[in-house]
Amino acid sequence: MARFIEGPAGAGKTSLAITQVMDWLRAGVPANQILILVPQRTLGIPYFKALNDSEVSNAASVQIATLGGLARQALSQYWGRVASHIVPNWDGREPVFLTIETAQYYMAQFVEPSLQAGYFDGVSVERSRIVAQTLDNLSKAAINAFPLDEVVERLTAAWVGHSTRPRVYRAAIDIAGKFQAYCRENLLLDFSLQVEFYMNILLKDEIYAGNLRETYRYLIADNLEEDFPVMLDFVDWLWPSLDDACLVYDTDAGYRIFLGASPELAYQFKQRCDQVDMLDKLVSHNPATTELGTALGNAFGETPQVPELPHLEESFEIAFSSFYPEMIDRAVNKVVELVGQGVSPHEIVILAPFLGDSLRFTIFDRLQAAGIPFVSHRPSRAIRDEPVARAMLALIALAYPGTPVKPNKTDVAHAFVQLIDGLDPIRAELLVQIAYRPNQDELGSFDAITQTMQQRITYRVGERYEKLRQRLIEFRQNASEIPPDYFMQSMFDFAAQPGYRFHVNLEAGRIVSELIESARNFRAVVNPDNPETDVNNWTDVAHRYAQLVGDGVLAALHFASWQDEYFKDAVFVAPAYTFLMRNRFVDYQFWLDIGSGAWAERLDQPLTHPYVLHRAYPKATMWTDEMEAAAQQERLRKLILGLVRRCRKHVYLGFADLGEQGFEQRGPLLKIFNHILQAYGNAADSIS
Amino acid sequence: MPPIRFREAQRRIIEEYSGGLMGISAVPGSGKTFTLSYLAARLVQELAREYVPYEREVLIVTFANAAVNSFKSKIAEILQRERRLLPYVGYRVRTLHGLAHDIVRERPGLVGLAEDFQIVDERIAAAIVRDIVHSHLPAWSSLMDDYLSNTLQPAQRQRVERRDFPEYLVQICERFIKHAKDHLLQPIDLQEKFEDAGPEYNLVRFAIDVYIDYQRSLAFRGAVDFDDLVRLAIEGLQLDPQYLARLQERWPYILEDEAQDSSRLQEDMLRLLTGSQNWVRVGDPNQAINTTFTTASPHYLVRFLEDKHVLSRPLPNSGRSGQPIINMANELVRWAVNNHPSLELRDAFYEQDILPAEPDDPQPNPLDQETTIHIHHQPGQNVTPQQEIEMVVRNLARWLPDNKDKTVAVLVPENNRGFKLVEELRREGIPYEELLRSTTEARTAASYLRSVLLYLAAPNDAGVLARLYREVWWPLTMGPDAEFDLAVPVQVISRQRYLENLIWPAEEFDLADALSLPGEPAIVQNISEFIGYVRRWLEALALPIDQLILTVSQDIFTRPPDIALSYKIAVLLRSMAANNPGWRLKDFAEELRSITENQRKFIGFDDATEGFEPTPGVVTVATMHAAKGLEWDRVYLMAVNNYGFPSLQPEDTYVGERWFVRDHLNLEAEVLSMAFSENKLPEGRASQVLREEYAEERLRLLYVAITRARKELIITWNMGRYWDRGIINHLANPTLYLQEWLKGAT
Repeated sequence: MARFIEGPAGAGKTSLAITQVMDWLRAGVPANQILILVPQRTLGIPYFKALNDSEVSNAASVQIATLGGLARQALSQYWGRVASHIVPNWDGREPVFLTIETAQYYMAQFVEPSLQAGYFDGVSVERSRIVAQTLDNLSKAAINAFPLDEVVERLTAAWVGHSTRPRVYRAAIDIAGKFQAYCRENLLLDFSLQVEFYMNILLKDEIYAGNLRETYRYLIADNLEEDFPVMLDFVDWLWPSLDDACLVYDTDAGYRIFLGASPELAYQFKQRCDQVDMLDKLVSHNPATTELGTALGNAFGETPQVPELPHLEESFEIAFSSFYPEMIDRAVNKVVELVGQGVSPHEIVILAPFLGDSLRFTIFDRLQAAGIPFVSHRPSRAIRDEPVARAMLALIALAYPGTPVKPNKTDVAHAFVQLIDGLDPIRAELLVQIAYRPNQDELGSFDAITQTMQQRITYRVGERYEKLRQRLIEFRQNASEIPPDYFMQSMFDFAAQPGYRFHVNLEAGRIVSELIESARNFRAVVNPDNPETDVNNWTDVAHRYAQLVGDGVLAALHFASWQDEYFKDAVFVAPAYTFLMRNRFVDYQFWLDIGSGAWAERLDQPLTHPYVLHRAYPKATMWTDEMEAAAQQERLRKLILGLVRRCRKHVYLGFADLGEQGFEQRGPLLKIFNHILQAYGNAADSIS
Repeated sequence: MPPIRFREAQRRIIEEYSGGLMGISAVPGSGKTFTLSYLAARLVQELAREYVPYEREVLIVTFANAAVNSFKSKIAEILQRERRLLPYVGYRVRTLHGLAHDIVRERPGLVGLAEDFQIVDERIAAAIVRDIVHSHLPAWSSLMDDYLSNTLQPAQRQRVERRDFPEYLVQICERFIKHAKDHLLQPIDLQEKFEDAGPEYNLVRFAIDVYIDYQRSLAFRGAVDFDDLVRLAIEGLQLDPQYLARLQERWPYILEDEAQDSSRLQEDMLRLLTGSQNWVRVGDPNQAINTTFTTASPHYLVRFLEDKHVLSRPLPNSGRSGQPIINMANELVRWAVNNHPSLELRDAFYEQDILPAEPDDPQPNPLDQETTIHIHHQPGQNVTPQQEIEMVVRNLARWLPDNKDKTVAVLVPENNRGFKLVEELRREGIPYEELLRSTTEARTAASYLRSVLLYLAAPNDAGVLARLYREVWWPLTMGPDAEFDLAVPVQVISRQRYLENLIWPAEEFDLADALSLPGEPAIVQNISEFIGYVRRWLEALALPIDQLILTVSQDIFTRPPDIALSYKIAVLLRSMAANNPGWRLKDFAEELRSITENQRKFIGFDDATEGFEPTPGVVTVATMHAAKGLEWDRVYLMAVNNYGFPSLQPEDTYVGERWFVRDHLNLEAEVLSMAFSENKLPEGRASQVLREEYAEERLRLLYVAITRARKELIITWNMGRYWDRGIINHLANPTLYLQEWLKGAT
């Protein structure tokens, strides 16, 4: 017995699947026999909430997982059974799971020589992108179960352009191969190896496979259209041993194609299900936004032209601005107006095709000034941009001898301002001018400076500075024995005392714990307690770590920001795709920058290709402009219909004639709305 | 609204064009923008009537950013007011670079770029080239022996080797790289071509080495320069015929403005995009003023106009200038074509007359009696550059009070002359506006932000704080109508010994007492507010640079263009920070200085306030180049001497020829000829050809400058900067002739 639930967003598919889980539980299925698979953690939230709130006993212990999570957990648990397949004479070493950052750190070592040798001369891409795209090729190979050579073959066959490019593809894959060989040898498992070992070794291991099949008899796989091929292989593998299954498929989605999602392959599971639930009625129905969906469908030629849409005008409006910041202000003013009318901030999202740092900061600044709470997904927020993180980096440089780059006076002054309560930037500069000499190892003593200057800086600050200085001197004496994460923990504890700023700065705790976590990961990778890696001096590790953070490689702050978004009554500010992948419904949506071409364009990455490196894409086929244009249109269609279906009341569109960079904006989304205005409304009246 | 009246020549273009190739030769003041805008609006409306899934657009390609804005707003106005359509949709106005940017931006992967590729501007590109030249030069020191003049004294030679020649090489390499890109040549192509070349090609090989490293350096940044954009756009269109076909479908009509400045690449790109179908080219071969050292040439337009497959629709009538000025412009053309003393310059112009408008024209020419021409020159008279400026300023000071309703401009051959004039105008309190390298607005916004950064970089410096007050806070909050004298607060602030007590007092205190201004509540209040903002900015110091800039600009700017400019500055500085992690506030301030001092072309917002309209009673100071397309009631043309406008006469000297290089060689011309000409020329010939091209272009520049005047034209000259060293310039040859002709005419 298996069930396939399909329909657009808002039709009640997940609710039905949750009911199915509850039915199983009520019918006496043990919670630990149920596996709920989702493509990414946030999509498991509705299940998590429902199971936690459920009166059914044990419901909360149902496993909600992604394939990656499952693989990592299993590889840790069954490592002994895996290792002997990888290293012929396995000596008991444990694997190290690489994070994205640590994988990038290693990959960079392989990329650099090729870059210097001119292998990448045909493309103009920053080195960090070359690193990221080479890793991406590895992941694509893993999630599609391609050999690495097939990646080159596919990319080369698809390429229409200049003859230098295949050479660059080959260079990228050669590097990927070297990286992977190194990782295998040193038992460093990046995402691609985790997937590969899980699928090719563990699932073929009698004991693990037997246990797994015995354990999970009931399966929910939600948002199947967002899953990549090996995840579907996994479902296929588990299928014969299941007692029951429920697969959920969103007919309009497939947003994660660039990450390897495979809606066409996923849809084939429908044939294998005994029952199909087609949900095509939207649960919460608003005639205005429904008509907007219809009008957009018309514009894409998806549905036949409807002669009249009487409620359409209520569904959206366009604010036309000449300049980009004007557009942001108008959107925020409207948000303020809505909140003033009693709308909950939780019911408002502000979306843009990309959310750069400057844009996010400007929106936050305006919302903060208006006293409106907000949360954001933080995809590109480099941790080094956080003042607290920069203060920590300066402290590492001061505490560990032999730093390759001495912090300059401004950095040290900033660090003191961040740490010492009562110290303002002007006095900090005075203090640093006297007490810090980049060519000396230790900070100067407050007692040694003139009395006038002491008075100017104030004795209270002086006392606090002196304690901090003493602390750093103590560390410096034993620095080689202290890993950087311990050091930061200890500095955090120090600065959390009264008289220091972390005592009152709650945000600092979050940022420092993020740093500590990343330093711990980094340490584990470079010194995995391996006798062969002779790291008995932490100084070098600390400097390398600081360098990595300083270079912006440690990009993301991961700390559960998605939870904030669900549980706080706050305006959500995010890139449009991020919002879609949260699968949330709100009353009001703001789409900023509708003139931008980025609403339709994919991330264009010269060394990889999301469509071509896909199992469903025919091998040895050229990727043409026609395909690209069709793919763009399809992306835009899915994106905006997905957004409109998640909007209950009104869409506010923001247009700036000159975009963020000062260039005129005339992307396809603007033109779609122009069509709608010409077809159904008075164009001149719909603009404010 | 009464229907717009078109001249017959305009009407035939606007109402009758139905596709195909059309060439419009338009004399100065013939309403070219007006005609093209109406034609575009008509075509936009026709396209809008037909339903297609992706909207089609009329593409207008023009030369300068300023023209983009004036076309855009003109077409928007016609669409909205007269045709009831959305104002900004259905057409796209672009410069060549803007169009190339659109094409590359849509398919960056096709030409090897990431989707967020950066465009480095001219200043950064120059800095990269400079670094590379300096790092390569030690291995190529023989170049100095090859080219330096052997008349140099040892001390002179030392200085030239250390400073002047390397800087010249930077310029040569920049030019070389630009040309290589114009010829669609990659470093590797040139490397192969010159692999076995003899030592006489050393300079070319040096430039190729620099080019290789330059491209690699851009690639590391994930960046391209402006010239790459055009090259890559063409490459993309050639690589993928389907992409080309899609763009052809999107832009069924292409209107090209200023086609006399069209370069080979522009022509290639538009030929590809139009498929030689619906292409309207408008221009005036006699106003081609951007051709030297480029592949641009008015001959492309002339050839097009004369092609039998092209429908020719000239716009010969102009209502701009009074008849005497028109006559003078026509006479300049006639003289150059028939009687120019240098035969090589006789094809500088396309022989065509400007005709006046018909008497019942909506824009009739000014009356003859309103029109005056004065060439300020007496035989034997000597005028130094400073005297010339003083004379013009004195003249303006006399004229302006009685002519506040008239527009007036002083046009100079190059920026530096303009800056000097502006200084003098400022000193004399004469109102002026500039059209020099970057707009005043961009510079004001950038200079305000720079003042803030400079203080934040030195928060204990009372002098810098006082400057911040004087340069930013005072103009923003007080200005000329203030109830107290600026000197008082500035002095008070700069006197403060311990700024921390003023900005972050450790204990409560009375500001008026601290400033020793007990009886001045207005000043104290103003300073108190100032301090409040300074604290806020100091607290924001730890933010990344873009966020710091956004925070400050939010506090000091209210006008949308200023805020937009600061936003763009913030984004720009952020990308600088990413490429230069070691940068501190003073480095960012230095970047802003380059914007304020006009060293940097600031893309995107060059003319944020749409097309320029002169303000009556305010003197416009512009280069003759920047004045193109504009008009004023009274126009001064300054520095019209044989240095700015040479005629291939023995006494003429030329911009770009260096005193320290042997045999008057222009090494830029020589290296380009060696690398890119099909036939090898004897040494020195390329330098001579360049002189000819330059002299031709300057003749046309003079023509452009003359035709800016509606009623009054005043031409002045000076002896040049080095008169005291015996290098004395004289009134330019064509002007000497025109002075004689004027005597005869009157």
